[in-house]
Amino acid sequence: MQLAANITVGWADIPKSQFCARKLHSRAIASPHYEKSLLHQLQLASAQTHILGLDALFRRACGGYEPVLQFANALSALPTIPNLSAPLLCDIDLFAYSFLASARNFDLLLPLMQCNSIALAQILNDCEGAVRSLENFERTGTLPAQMSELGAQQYLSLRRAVARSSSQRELQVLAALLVSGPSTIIHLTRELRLELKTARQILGLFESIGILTLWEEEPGGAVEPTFAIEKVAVPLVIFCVKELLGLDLMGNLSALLETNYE
Amino acid sequence: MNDVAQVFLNPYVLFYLSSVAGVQMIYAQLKRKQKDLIAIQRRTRGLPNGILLNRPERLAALRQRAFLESALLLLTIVGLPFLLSIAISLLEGAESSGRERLGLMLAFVGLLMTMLWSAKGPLLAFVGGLAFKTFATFAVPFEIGDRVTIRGFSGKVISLSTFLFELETPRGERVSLPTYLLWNEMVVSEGDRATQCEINLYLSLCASAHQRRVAESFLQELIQSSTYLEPSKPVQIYFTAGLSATHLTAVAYAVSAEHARSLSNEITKEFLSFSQKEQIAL
Repeated sequence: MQLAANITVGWADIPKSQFCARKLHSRAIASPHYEKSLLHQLQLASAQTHILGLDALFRRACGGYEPVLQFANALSALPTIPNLSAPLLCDIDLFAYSFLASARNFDLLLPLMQCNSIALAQILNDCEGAVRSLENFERTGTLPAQMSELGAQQYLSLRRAVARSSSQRELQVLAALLVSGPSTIIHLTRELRLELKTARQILGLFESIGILTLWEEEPGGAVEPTFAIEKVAVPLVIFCVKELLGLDLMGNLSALLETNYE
Repeated sequence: MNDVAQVFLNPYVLFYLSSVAGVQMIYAQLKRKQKDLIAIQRRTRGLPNGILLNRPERLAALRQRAFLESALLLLTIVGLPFLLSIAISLLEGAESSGRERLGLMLAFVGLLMTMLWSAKGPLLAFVGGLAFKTFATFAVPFEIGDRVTIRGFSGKVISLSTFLFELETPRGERVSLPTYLLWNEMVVSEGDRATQCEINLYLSLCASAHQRRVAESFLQELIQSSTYLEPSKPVQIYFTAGLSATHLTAVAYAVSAEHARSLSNEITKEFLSFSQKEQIAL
Protein backbone atom coordinates (compact mmCIF):
# COMPACT_ATOMS: atom_id res chain seq x y z
CA MET A 1 0.00 0.00 0.00
CA GLN A 2 1.30 3.45 -0.87
CA LEU A 3 1.82 5.81 2.03
CA ALA A 4 2.27 9.55 2.19
CA ALA A 5 3.21 11.89 5.02
CA ASN A 6 0.86 14.64 6.16
CA ILE A 7 2.95 17.03 8.24
CA THR A 8 1.46 18.50 11.41
CA VAL A 9 2.92 21.15 13.70
CA GLY A 10 2.27 21.31 17.41
CA TRP A 11 0.94 18.54 19.61
CA ALA A 12 -2.73 19.33 20.10
CA ASP A 13 -3.66 16.31 22.16
CA ILE A 14 -3.31 12.54 22.19
CA PRO A 15 -5.51 11.36 19.35
CA LYS A 16 -8.47 9.29 20.55
CA SER A 17 -9.59 7.89 17.22
CA GLN A 18 -9.43 4.13 16.53
CA PHE A 19 -7.12 5.03 13.64
CA CYS A 20 -4.45 6.65 15.73
CA ALA A 21 -1.13 4.94 15.15
CA ARG A 22 -0.58 4.07 18.80
CA LYS A 23 -3.89 2.18 19.09
CA LEU A 24 -3.43 0.39 15.76
CA HIS A 25 0.10 -0.62 16.70
CA SER A 26 -0.71 -1.79 20.24
CA ARG A 27 -3.62 -3.95 18.98
CA ALA A 28 -1.44 -5.38 16.21
CA ILE A 29 1.39 -6.12 18.65
CA ALA A 30 -1.03 -7.94 20.95
CA SER A 31 -2.28 -10.16 18.15
CA PRO A 32 -0.42 -13.22 16.83
CA HIS A 33 0.06 -11.75 13.37
CA TYR A 34 0.98 -8.07 13.17
CA GLU A 35 0.22 -7.34 9.54
CA LYS A 36 -3.04 -9.30 9.46
CA SER A 37 -4.25 -7.42 12.51
CA LEU A 38 -3.42 -4.08 10.87
CA LEU A 39 -5.19 -5.11 7.70
CA HIS A 40 -8.25 -6.16 9.68
CA GLN A 41 -8.34 -2.88 11.60
CA LEU A 42 -8.01 -0.82 8.44
CA GLN A 43 -10.94 -2.60 6.77
CA LEU A 44 -13.17 -0.41 8.93
CA ALA A 45 -11.63 2.80 7.57
CA SER A 46 -13.12 5.07 4.95
CA ALA A 47 -11.70 7.17 2.13
CA GLN A 48 -11.29 10.15 4.50
CA THR A 49 -9.30 8.18 7.08
CA HIS A 50 -5.85 9.39 8.02
CA ILE A 51 -3.51 7.52 10.29
CA LEU A 52 -3.19 9.90 13.21
CA GLY A 53 -0.21 10.68 15.43
CA LEU A 54 2.41 8.48 13.78
CA ASP A 55 5.06 10.40 15.74
CA ALA A 56 3.62 8.98 18.99
CA LEU A 57 5.26 5.66 18.06
CA PHE A 58 8.71 7.24 17.93
CA ARG A 59 11.10 8.08 20.73
CA ARG A 60 14.63 9.25 20.20
CA ALA A 61 16.09 6.56 22.43
CA CYS A 62 17.56 3.08 22.20
CA GLY A 63 14.73 0.90 20.98
CA GLY A 64 12.63 3.99 20.23
CA TYR A 65 12.86 3.69 16.46
CA GLU A 66 11.55 0.16 16.28
CA PRO A 67 7.77 0.75 16.74
CA VAL A 68 7.46 3.50 14.12
CA LEU A 69 9.62 1.63 11.61
CA GLN A 70 7.77 -1.64 12.21
CA PHE A 71 4.41 0.08 11.81
CA ALA A 72 5.36 2.01 8.66
CA ASN A 73 7.04 -1.01 7.08
CA ALA A 74 4.03 -3.21 7.83
CA LEU A 75 1.60 -0.63 6.43
CA SER A 76 3.55 -0.26 3.23
CA ALA A 77 3.69 -4.07 2.84
CA LEU A 78 -0.11 -4.35 3.01
CA PRO A 79 -2.12 -4.73 -0.18
CA THR A 80 -4.18 -1.75 -1.31
CA ILE A 81 -7.49 -1.60 0.56
CA PRO A 82 -10.35 -0.51 -1.78
CA ASN A 83 -12.20 1.71 0.70
CA LEU A 84 -9.04 3.63 1.68
CA SER A 85 -7.59 6.62 -0.14
CA ALA A 86 -4.44 6.01 -2.14
CA PRO A 87 -1.89 6.93 -0.97
CA LEU A 88 -2.87 6.51 2.68
CA LEU A 89 -2.08 9.71 4.54
CA CYS A 90 -0.21 9.39 7.84
CA ASP A 91 -0.15 12.41 10.10
CA ILE A 92 3.30 12.95 11.56
CA ASP A 93 4.82 15.83 13.46
CA LEU A 94 7.22 18.05 11.53
CA PHE A 95 10.19 17.62 13.84
CA ALA A 96 9.87 13.87 14.26
CA TYR A 97 9.65 13.58 10.48
CA SER A 98 12.65 15.82 9.95
CA PHE A 99 14.70 13.84 12.43
CA LEU A 100 13.69 10.43 11.07
CA ALA A 101 14.22 11.53 7.48
CA SER A 102 17.75 12.72 8.29
CA ALA A 103 18.74 9.85 10.57
CA ARG A 104 16.94 6.90 9.00
CA ASN A 105 15.86 7.98 5.49
CA PHE A 106 12.30 7.68 6.70
CA ASP A 107 11.10 9.90 3.86
CA LEU A 108 11.83 7.02 1.47
CA LEU A 109 9.31 4.87 3.35
CA LEU A 110 6.87 7.70 3.97
CA PRO A 111 7.33 10.29 1.22
CA LEU A 112 5.67 13.66 1.02
CA MET A 113 3.05 14.14 -1.63
CA GLN A 114 3.65 17.00 -4.05
CA CYS A 115 0.77 19.06 -2.65
CA ASN A 116 1.93 18.34 0.90
CA SER A 117 5.47 19.40 0.09
CA ILE A 118 4.08 22.78 -0.97
CA ALA A 119 2.15 23.06 2.29
CA LEU A 120 5.27 21.95 4.15
CA ALA A 121 7.37 24.61 2.42
CA GLN A 122 4.83 27.15 3.67
CA ILE A 123 5.04 25.78 7.23
CA LEU A 124 8.83 25.90 7.07
CA ASN A 125 8.69 29.46 5.78
CA ASP A 126 6.47 30.50 8.67
CA CYS A 127 8.73 28.78 11.22
CA GLU A 128 11.83 30.31 9.65
CA GLY A 129 10.18 33.71 9.70
CA ALA A 130 9.47 33.37 13.41
CA VAL A 131 13.04 32.21 14.09
CA ARG A 132 14.44 35.12 12.05
CA SER A 133 12.36 37.54 14.16
CA LEU A 134 14.01 36.09 17.24
CA GLU A 135 17.42 36.48 15.64
CA ASN A 136 16.69 40.13 14.92
CA PHE A 137 15.44 40.63 18.44
CA GLU A 138 18.58 39.01 19.85
CA ARG A 139 20.85 41.10 17.58
CA THR A 140 19.30 44.50 17.93
CA GLY A 141 16.71 44.39 20.72
CA THR A 142 14.06 45.59 18.23
CA LEU A 143 10.74 43.94 18.83
CA PRO A 144 9.55 42.62 15.43
CA ALA A 145 5.96 43.24 14.35
CA GLN A 146 5.08 39.54 14.59
CA MET A 147 6.35 39.30 18.16
CA SER A 148 4.26 40.50 21.09
CA GLU A 149 5.59 41.87 24.39
CA LEU A 150 4.46 38.66 26.01
CA GLY A 151 6.39 36.63 23.46
CA ALA A 152 9.47 38.75 24.13
CA GLN A 153 9.14 38.22 27.90
CA GLN A 154 8.71 34.52 27.37
CA TYR A 155 11.82 34.43 25.22
CA LEU A 156 13.83 36.35 27.83
CA SER A 157 12.71 33.94 30.57
CA LEU A 158 13.66 30.95 28.43
CA ARG A 159 16.95 32.58 27.53
CA ARG A 160 17.81 33.08 31.19
CA ALA A 161 17.19 29.38 31.78
CA VAL A 162 19.20 27.94 28.89
CA ALA A 163 21.87 30.47 27.90
CA ARG A 164 24.38 29.51 30.58
CA SER A 165 27.10 27.03 29.70
CA SER A 166 25.91 24.91 32.65
CA SER A 167 22.41 24.53 31.17
CA GLN A 168 23.13 21.35 29.18
CA ARG A 169 20.40 19.34 30.87
CA GLU A 170 17.79 21.99 30.17
CA LEU A 171 18.77 21.99 26.50
CA GLN A 172 18.65 18.20 26.35
CA VAL A 173 15.12 18.24 27.73
CA LEU A 174 14.01 20.79 25.15
CA ALA A 175 15.63 18.85 22.31
CA ALA A 176 14.00 15.60 23.50
CA LEU A 177 10.56 17.23 23.69
CA LEU A 178 11.01 18.77 20.25
CA VAL A 179 12.08 15.58 18.51
CA SER A 180 10.26 12.87 20.46
CA GLY A 181 7.18 14.97 21.18
CA PRO A 182 5.06 14.86 24.34
CA SER A 183 6.95 13.04 27.07
CA THR A 184 6.42 11.89 30.62
CA ILE A 185 8.97 12.40 33.38
CA ILE A 186 9.80 8.69 33.16
CA HIS A 187 10.60 9.04 29.45
CA LEU A 188 12.97 11.88 30.11
CA THR A 189 14.71 10.36 33.14
CA ARG A 190 15.26 7.11 31.28
CA GLU A 191 16.30 8.54 27.91
CA LEU A 192 18.39 11.43 29.14
CA ARG A 193 19.66 9.65 32.25
CA LEU A 194 18.42 12.45 34.50
CA GLU A 195 17.69 12.27 38.18
CA LEU A 196 13.96 12.38 38.89
CA LYS A 197 14.34 15.49 41.02
CA THR A 198 16.31 17.27 38.28
CA ALA A 199 13.76 16.33 35.62
CA ARG A 200 10.91 17.63 37.80
CA GLN A 201 12.75 20.90 38.43
CA ILE A 202 13.49 21.49 34.77
CA LEU A 203 10.00 20.60 33.58
CA GLY A 204 8.46 22.69 36.34
CA LEU A 205 10.60 25.67 35.33
CA PHE A 206 9.63 25.41 31.67
CA GLU A 207 5.99 24.98 32.55
CA SER A 208 6.06 28.07 34.76
CA ILE A 209 7.35 30.24 31.90
CA GLY A 210 4.78 28.88 29.47
CA ILE A 211 7.12 26.86 27.27
CA LEU A 212 5.52 23.55 28.20
CA THR A 213 1.96 22.50 28.78
CA LEU A 214 0.86 19.63 30.98
CA TRP A 215 -1.58 16.94 29.80
CA GLU A 216 -3.15 14.11 31.65
CA GLU A 217 -2.79 10.67 30.14
CA GLU A 218 -5.86 9.28 28.32
CA PRO A 219 -8.48 7.68 30.55
CA GLY A 220 -7.80 4.07 31.38
CA GLY A 221 -4.03 4.52 31.20
CA ALA A 222 -1.61 5.20 34.04
CA VAL A 223 -2.06 8.71 35.43
CA GLU A 224 1.29 10.02 34.37
CA PRO A 225 1.66 13.73 33.58
CA THR A 226 2.75 14.33 30.01
CA PHE A 227 4.59 17.46 28.99
CA ALA A 228 4.43 18.94 25.52
CA ILE A 229 5.84 22.13 24.02
CA GLU A 230 3.22 24.84 23.68
CA LYS A 231 2.53 25.59 20.04
CA VAL A 232 3.31 29.31 20.46
CA ALA A 233 6.63 28.44 22.13
CA VAL A 234 7.79 26.15 19.31
CA PRO A 235 9.81 28.87 17.49
CA LEU A 236 11.52 29.81 20.78
CA VAL A 237 12.54 26.20 21.37
CA ILE A 238 13.71 25.73 17.76
CA PHE A 239 15.80 28.88 18.07
CA CYS A 240 17.44 27.97 21.39
CA VAL A 241 18.14 24.38 20.37
CA LYS A 242 19.64 25.57 17.07
CA GLU A 243 21.85 28.32 18.49
CA LEU A 244 22.94 26.67 21.74
CA LEU A 245 23.05 23.00 20.79
CA GLY A 246 23.58 23.21 17.04
CA LEU A 247 20.60 20.99 16.17
CA ASP A 248 18.96 22.54 13.11
CA LEU A 249 15.96 20.34 12.31
CA MET A 250 14.34 22.84 10.00
CA GLY A 251 17.54 23.40 8.08
CA ASN A 252 17.90 19.65 7.59
CA LEU A 253 14.35 19.31 6.34
CA SER A 254 14.67 22.28 3.98
CA ALA A 255 17.83 20.75 2.55
CA LEU A 256 16.01 17.44 2.11
CA LEU A 257 13.08 19.12 0.36
CA GLU A 258 15.46 20.94 -1.97
CA THR A 259 17.31 17.83 -3.05
CA ASN A 260 14.39 15.43 -3.26
CA TYR A 261 11.43 17.46 -4.26
CA GLU A 262 12.65 20.10 -6.70
CA MET B 1 58.83 78.67 -3.54
CA ASN B 2 55.64 80.67 -3.30
CA ASP B 3 54.41 78.95 -6.43
CA VAL B 4 55.07 75.51 -4.94
CA ALA B 5 53.25 76.54 -1.78
CA GLN B 6 50.31 77.86 -3.77
CA VAL B 7 50.08 74.60 -5.71
CA PHE B 8 49.52 72.64 -2.51
CA LEU B 9 48.10 75.16 -0.07
CA ASN B 10 44.84 75.81 -1.80
CA PRO B 11 41.38 75.10 -0.47
CA TYR B 12 40.73 72.26 -2.91
CA VAL B 13 43.75 70.21 -1.91
CA LEU B 14 42.97 70.89 1.74
CA PHE B 15 39.37 69.86 1.21
CA TYR B 16 40.48 66.71 -0.60
CA LEU B 17 42.95 65.55 2.05
CA SER B 18 40.62 66.45 4.91
CA SER B 19 37.78 64.56 3.24
CA VAL B 20 39.85 61.39 2.85
CA ALA B 21 40.65 61.34 6.56
CA GLY B 22 37.45 63.02 7.72
CA VAL B 23 35.04 60.64 6.00
CA GLN B 24 36.73 57.66 7.63
CA MET B 25 36.65 59.31 11.05
CA ILE B 26 33.00 60.31 10.72
CA TYR B 27 32.07 56.85 9.51
CA ALA B 28 33.90 55.23 12.45
CA GLN B 29 32.04 57.54 14.85
CA LEU B 30 28.68 56.77 13.26
CA LYS B 31 29.39 53.05 13.45
CA ARG B 32 30.32 53.32 17.12
CA LYS B 33 27.22 55.36 17.83
CA GLN B 34 25.02 52.78 16.07
CA LYS B 35 26.65 50.01 18.08
CA ASP B 36 26.03 51.93 21.31
CA LEU B 37 22.40 52.53 20.37
CA ILE B 38 21.89 48.84 19.69
CA ALA B 39 23.53 47.97 23.03
CA ILE B 40 21.20 50.41 24.83
CA GLN B 41 18.18 49.04 23.00
CA ARG B 42 19.12 45.48 23.91
CA ARG B 43 19.68 46.43 27.55
CA THR B 44 16.31 48.21 27.65
CA ARG B 45 14.67 45.04 26.39
CA GLY B 46 16.33 43.01 29.13
CA LEU B 47 18.85 41.25 26.89
CA PRO B 48 22.24 40.67 28.50
CA ASN B 49 25.50 41.76 26.86
CA GLY B 50 26.55 38.56 25.10
CA ILE B 51 24.72 37.71 21.88
CA LEU B 52 23.29 34.19 21.87
CA LEU B 53 23.67 33.67 18.14
CA ASN B 54 26.28 31.39 16.60
CA ARG B 55 26.54 33.96 13.81
CA PRO B 56 26.22 37.31 15.57
CA GLU B 57 26.23 39.16 12.25
CA ARG B 58 24.38 38.26 9.09
CA LEU B 59 26.44 37.77 5.95
CA ALA B 60 24.19 40.20 4.07
CA ALA B 61 24.78 42.93 6.69
CA LEU B 62 28.54 42.28 6.65
CA ARG B 63 28.54 42.47 2.88
CA GLN B 64 26.66 45.75 2.94
CA ARG B 65 29.03 47.25 5.45
CA ALA B 66 32.18 46.05 3.67
CA PHE B 67 30.84 47.38 0.38
CA LEU B 68 30.01 50.74 1.96
CA GLU B 69 33.46 51.05 3.56
CA SER B 70 35.23 50.17 0.32
CA ALA B 71 33.02 52.54 -1.64
CA LEU B 72 33.68 55.38 0.81
CA LEU B 73 37.43 54.86 0.55
CA LEU B 74 37.41 54.65 -3.25
CA LEU B 75 35.02 57.56 -3.74
CA THR B 76 37.01 59.85 -1.47
CA ILE B 77 40.44 58.92 -2.82
CA VAL B 78 39.63 58.40 -6.49
CA GLY B 79 36.24 60.00 -7.15
CA LEU B 80 36.58 63.19 -5.18
CA PRO B 81 39.53 64.62 -7.18
CA PHE B 82 37.44 64.47 -10.36
CA LEU B 83 34.50 66.22 -8.72
CA LEU B 84 36.80 68.84 -7.27
CA SER B 85 38.40 69.32 -10.66
CA ILE B 86 34.96 70.09 -12.13
CA ALA B 87 34.28 72.41 -9.21
CA ILE B 88 37.59 74.20 -9.87
CA SER B 89 36.65 74.74 -13.53
CA LEU B 90 33.26 76.14 -12.58
CA LEU B 91 34.42 78.33 -9.72
CA GLU B 92 37.87 79.47 -10.87
CA GLY B 93 37.42 79.31 -14.61
CA ALA B 94 39.37 77.04 -16.99
CA GLU B 95 42.27 79.49 -17.60
CA SER B 96 43.12 80.45 -14.03
CA SER B 97 42.74 77.09 -12.31
CA GLY B 98 45.99 75.42 -13.43
CA ARG B 99 47.80 75.62 -10.06
CA GLU B 100 44.82 74.28 -8.12
CA ARG B 101 44.37 71.39 -10.55
CA LEU B 102 48.07 70.56 -10.41
CA GLY B 103 47.99 70.55 -6.61
CA LEU B 104 44.97 68.30 -6.62
CA MET B 105 46.54 65.92 -9.10
CA LEU B 106 49.79 65.73 -7.15
CA ALA B 107 47.92 65.11 -3.91
CA PHE B 108 45.88 62.33 -5.55
CA VAL B 109 48.90 60.64 -7.15
CA GLY B 110 50.93 60.99 -3.97
CA LEU B 111 48.17 59.41 -1.90
CA LEU B 112 47.69 56.58 -4.38
CA MET B 113 51.41 55.82 -4.56
CA THR B 114 51.69 55.87 -0.78
CA MET B 115 48.87 53.37 -0.53
CA LEU B 116 50.04 51.10 -3.29
CA TRP B 117 53.79 50.99 -2.84
CA SER B 118 55.27 52.44 0.21
CA ALA B 119 52.45 52.12 2.74
CA LYS B 120 53.54 50.62 6.04
CA GLY B 121 52.00 49.92 9.41
CA PRO B 122 48.52 51.30 10.03
CA LEU B 123 47.85 52.39 6.44
CA LEU B 124 48.79 48.99 5.02
CA ALA B 125 46.75 47.29 7.76
CA PHE B 126 43.75 49.46 6.95
CA VAL B 127 43.78 49.11 3.18
CA GLY B 128 44.83 45.45 3.13
CA GLY B 129 42.38 44.60 5.89
CA LEU B 130 39.47 46.37 4.24
CA ALA B 131 40.25 44.69 0.94
CA PHE B 132 40.30 41.24 2.53
CA LYS B 133 37.16 41.90 4.54
CA THR B 134 35.31 42.99 1.39
CA PHE B 135 36.60 40.01 -0.54
CA ALA B 136 35.65 37.60 2.28
CA THR B 137 32.05 38.81 2.42
CA PHE B 138 31.56 38.10 -1.29
CA ALA B 139 33.73 35.04 -1.94
CA VAL B 140 32.92 33.70 1.58
CA PRO B 141 35.94 31.49 2.33
CA PHE B 142 34.49 31.41 5.84
CA GLU B 143 31.90 33.26 7.90
CA ILE B 144 31.76 34.61 11.42
CA GLY B 145 30.75 31.66 13.58
CA ASP B 146 32.61 29.10 11.44
CA ARG B 147 35.35 26.95 12.88
CA VAL B 148 38.69 27.49 11.14
CA THR B 149 42.34 26.56 11.57
CA ILE B 150 45.03 29.15 10.91
CA ARG B 151 48.71 29.02 11.89
CA GLY B 152 48.02 25.92 13.96
CA PHE B 153 45.23 27.55 15.97
CA SER B 154 41.74 26.10 15.67
CA GLY B 155 38.72 27.95 16.86
CA LYS B 156 35.53 29.79 16.13
CA VAL B 157 35.73 33.04 14.16
CA ILE B 158 34.30 35.71 16.42
CA SER B 159 35.18 38.82 14.48
CA LEU B 160 36.52 39.95 11.10
CA SER B 161 37.04 43.69 11.21
CA THR B 162 39.16 45.93 8.99
CA PHE B 163 42.14 45.65 11.32
CA LEU B 164 41.75 42.43 13.27
CA PHE B 165 40.67 38.85 12.70
CA GLU B 166 39.79 37.07 15.94
CA LEU B 167 39.37 33.40 16.83
CA GLU B 168 38.21 31.84 20.05
CA THR B 169 39.75 28.44 20.74
CA PRO B 170 37.85 25.67 22.58
CA ARG B 171 40.00 26.48 25.65
CA GLY B 172 38.69 30.02 25.66
CA GLU B 173 41.88 31.59 24.30
CA ARG B 174 41.50 34.54 21.95
CA VAL B 175 43.80 34.53 18.95
CA SER B 176 44.09 37.80 17.01
CA LEU B 177 45.73 38.34 13.66
CA PRO B 178 45.89 41.51 11.54
CA THR B 179 43.28 41.02 8.79
CA TYR B 180 45.62 42.07 6.00
CA LEU B 181 47.88 39.10 6.73
CA LEU B 182 45.07 36.73 5.77
CA TRP B 183 45.84 37.37 2.10
CA ASN B 184 48.95 35.21 2.52
CA GLU B 185 47.63 32.64 4.97
CA MET B 186 46.10 29.23 4.48
CA VAL B 187 42.81 29.13 6.35
CA VAL B 188 41.19 25.74 6.78
CA SER B 189 37.47 26.11 7.33
CA GLU B 190 35.41 23.28 8.79
CA GLY B 191 32.31 24.54 6.99
CA ASP B 192 29.32 23.04 8.81
CA ARG B 193 28.90 23.50 12.51
CA ALA B 194 28.81 19.68 12.90
CA THR B 195 32.15 18.14 13.89
CA GLN B 196 33.35 14.65 13.19
CA CYS B 197 33.87 12.60 16.30
CA GLU B 198 35.60 9.23 16.58
CA ILE B 199 34.77 6.89 19.43
CA ASN B 200 37.13 3.98 19.97
CA LEU B 201 36.06 0.89 21.85
CA TYR B 202 37.81 -2.43 22.29
CA LEU B 203 36.15 -5.82 22.49
CA SER B 204 37.99 -8.82 23.84
CA LEU B 205 39.00 -11.46 21.30
CA CYS B 206 36.78 -13.83 23.30
CA ALA B 207 33.64 -11.94 22.23
CA SER B 208 31.58 -14.16 19.94
CA ALA B 209 30.30 -13.16 16.51
CA HIS B 210 26.78 -12.81 17.95
CA GLN B 211 28.07 -10.54 20.71
CA ARG B 212 29.90 -8.39 18.17
CA ARG B 213 26.69 -8.06 16.14
CA VAL B 214 24.70 -7.14 19.22
CA ALA B 215 27.37 -4.62 20.24
CA GLU B 216 27.37 -3.05 16.79
CA SER B 217 23.61 -2.80 16.63
CA PHE B 218 23.38 -1.33 20.13
CA LEU B 219 26.14 1.16 19.37
CA GLN B 220 24.32 2.34 16.22
CA GLU B 221 21.08 2.92 18.13
CA LEU B 222 22.88 4.46 21.07
CA ILE B 223 24.64 7.01 18.89
CA GLN B 224 21.41 7.90 17.08
CA SER B 225 19.61 8.41 20.36
CA SER B 226 22.15 10.94 21.65
CA THR B 227 21.03 14.57 21.90
CA TYR B 228 24.47 15.61 20.69
CA LEU B 229 24.33 13.75 17.37
CA GLU B 230 23.87 15.67 14.11
CA PRO B 231 21.20 13.46 12.48
CA SER B 232 21.81 14.58 8.89
CA LYS B 233 25.35 13.17 8.88
CA PRO B 234 26.13 9.46 8.59
CA VAL B 235 27.03 7.19 11.49
CA GLN B 236 29.63 4.57 10.57
CA ILE B 237 30.93 1.69 12.61
CA TYR B 238 34.11 -0.15 11.68
CA PHE B 239 35.69 -3.27 13.05
CA THR B 240 39.41 -3.77 12.98
CA ALA B 241 41.02 -7.00 14.14
CA GLY B 242 43.96 -6.42 16.45
CA LEU B 243 46.42 -8.75 18.14
CA SER B 244 44.94 -8.34 21.61
CA ALA B 245 41.47 -6.94 20.94
CA THR B 246 38.87 -6.21 18.32
CA HIS B 247 38.87 -2.50 17.70
CA LEU B 248 35.42 -0.98 17.24
CA THR B 249 35.49 2.53 15.80
CA ALA B 250 32.35 4.60 15.59
CA VAL B 251 32.51 7.71 13.44
CA ALA B 252 29.68 10.17 14.00
CA TYR B 253 29.13 13.89 13.82
CA ALA B 254 28.42 15.97 16.89
CA VAL B 255 25.96 18.87 16.47
CA SER B 256 28.80 21.29 17.22
CA ALA B 257 32.47 21.19 18.18
CA GLU B 258 31.59 22.28 21.74
CA HIS B 259 29.56 19.07 22.18
CA ALA B 260 31.91 16.58 20.53
CA ARG B 261 33.34 15.53 23.89
CA SER B 262 29.86 15.19 25.40
CA LEU B 263 28.83 12.88 22.57
CA SER B 264 31.92 10.74 22.97
CA ASN B 265 31.54 10.64 26.75
CA GLU B 266 27.87 9.68 26.64
CA ILE B 267 28.40 6.89 24.10
CA THR B 268 31.39 5.43 25.91
CA LYS B 269 29.69 5.44 29.32
CA GLU B 270 26.50 3.81 28.04
CA PHE B 271 28.38 1.25 25.98
CA LEU B 272 30.44 0.23 29.00
CA SER B 273 27.24 -0.26 31.04
CA PHE B 274 25.65 -2.21 28.20
CA SER B 275 28.64 -4.51 27.75
CA GLN B 276 28.70 -5.21 31.49
CA LYS B 277 24.97 -6.06 31.44
CA GLU B 278 25.31 -8.27 28.34
CA GLN B 279 28.56 -9.76 29.64
CA ILE B 280 30.49 -8.79 26.55
CA ALA B 281 34.15 -8.84 27.45
CA LEU B 282 36.05 -5.69 26.68
